[in-house]
Amino acid sequence: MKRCLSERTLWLAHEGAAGERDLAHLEGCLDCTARYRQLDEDLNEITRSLRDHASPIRRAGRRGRRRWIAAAAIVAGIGLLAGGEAVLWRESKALVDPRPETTAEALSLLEEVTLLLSSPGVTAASVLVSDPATVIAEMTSRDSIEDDPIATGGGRL
Amino acid sequence: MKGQAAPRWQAHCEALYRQHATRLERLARLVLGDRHEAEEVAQEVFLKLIRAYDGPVVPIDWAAWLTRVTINACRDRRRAGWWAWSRRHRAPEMLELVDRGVTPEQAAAGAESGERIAAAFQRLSSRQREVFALRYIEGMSTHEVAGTLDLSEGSVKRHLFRAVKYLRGALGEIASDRGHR
Repeated sequence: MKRCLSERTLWLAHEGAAGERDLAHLEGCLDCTARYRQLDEDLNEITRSLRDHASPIRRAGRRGRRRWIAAAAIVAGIGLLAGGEAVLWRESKALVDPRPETTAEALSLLEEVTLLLSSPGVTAASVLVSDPATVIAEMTSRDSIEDDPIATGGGRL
Repeated sequence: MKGQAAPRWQAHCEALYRQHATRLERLARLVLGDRHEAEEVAQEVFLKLIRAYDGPVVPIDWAAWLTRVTINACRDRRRAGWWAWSRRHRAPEMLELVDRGVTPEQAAAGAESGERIAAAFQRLSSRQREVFALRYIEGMSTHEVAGTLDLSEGSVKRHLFRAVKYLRGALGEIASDRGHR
């Protein structure tokens, strides 16, 4: 009884490297001949597929599109993250930072000091020495006198 | 002397490029599994060719030289750390549906099987990919493959047989999947 060729011997025969006894068996055995033909067909199909697949002429396929989609998703993700972070930062700043009130107070104080300094008869020294409330009261009363045409003598004309 | 030799050398380089560029790019793509990398490798190989030799043309087997340099360039890329990382996180490349006068169903089935064979090929070891590509895609003899890769013929046959066995297994799975549909 003849033993059929192993896969490796069959492949060696395909490579032209099998021994004479194996080749003689291959010629006489229908099963091995069919297996040999199948091996040949398989190798042709594999080689053809790989040649087609690796051909440099083909254009970028779905993989290129996938890359673009992935890149766009990453950019959008970063944008969303940055946007969310900015919103959170603003909210936390509004809760924690008391600066807006401080700024309003400082502005009103600065306004008062400017008014005081710009009014006649008030020097920086007097402002610094005296009580701010008193100075403001004095200044307000002086302004009302200056505005009054009778008090300033404008009515005589 | 060099001035006179330059145009001849240039012409020789251009001829080599026309003759081998596509082949080398395909080889690099099979070994690396990446089209862009393969393009870069092919360019790198021809730059090496220009740098390596700018004198009068010497009679050497340029096809074998170019193949060897391409394989070495692919190996250099594989050795880089980022390459190993990118390979782990990469899907196999997809096949284009090329119109060869077949029905859309046949084209889709053919493309799918080609894609699966290519994916199976990328699962082979790097040595098996090199050996298979040189033997069956480039059409070299096992002796030439052994010379190019600096391996013994026995080693080439061992790698080659394992690769063939694995790829035939993948092909058999594809055929049985087709039969079930």
